[in-house]
Amino acid sequence: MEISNEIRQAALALGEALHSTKAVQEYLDARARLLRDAQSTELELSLDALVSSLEARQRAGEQPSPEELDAFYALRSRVWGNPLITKRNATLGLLKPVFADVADDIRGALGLDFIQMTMATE
Amino acid sequence: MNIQSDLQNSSITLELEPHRAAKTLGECLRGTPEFQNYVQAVRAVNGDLEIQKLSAKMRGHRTALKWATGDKSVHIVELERLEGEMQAYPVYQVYRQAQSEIRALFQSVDRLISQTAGVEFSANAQPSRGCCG
Repeated sequence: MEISNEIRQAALALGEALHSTKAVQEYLDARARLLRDAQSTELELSLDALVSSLEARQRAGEQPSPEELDAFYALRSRVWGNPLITKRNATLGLLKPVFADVADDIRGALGLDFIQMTMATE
Repeated sequence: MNIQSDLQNSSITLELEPHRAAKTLGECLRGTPEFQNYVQAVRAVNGDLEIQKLSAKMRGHRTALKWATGDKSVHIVELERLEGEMQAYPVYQVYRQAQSEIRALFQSVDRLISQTAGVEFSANAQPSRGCCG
């Protein structure tokens, strides 16, 4: 999609302004710390893979065994207890209201819900 | 010279900047042909009596499906039929085209914002859908 130079500049200015906020900087820092730690990253990926596999089996009508559920809860506890993952998630949680406020400003100026239009699948 | 005060002022400026940038972007987007076409198409659809009648019927079936009242399969078939009927109207076709164009523009803009910010913008600006396990 071709966009005009004016819109491009305005979008880049907003991106840069968001990048320089404390909320984004703290999130990016926390994300980078997590990505540098292979053990924590693998732990999170293992949980994602296990959740996907269990969901696929449930969709197929198969129930996980009690041992498999125990393994899932144990892995999830380890992920939730991991300080790097917790910090990344917490900083992401703090960033969202900042983004929502900024989205409200766009909606106010535009008279249309930018986020809803962007995220709609239809 | 009061360094502490200067620092505080500069931090206030940094916090305000995204809001100003967001308003500027919103105003720029309002001036695009995609926005103007979309607004015009929405007005046309809202002003078309036949489309509004079809729309009201469709809302009725969607509500029935949501609250599980009546025969589900009948509602689905009827919704599909009404959707097909709606799509035959030129005014509705124009609306869908305008909607698709403005969406494509917004998605391109969102990608630019996200790439520069280093974080996905729209995906993280959505209202929370509640807690997940």
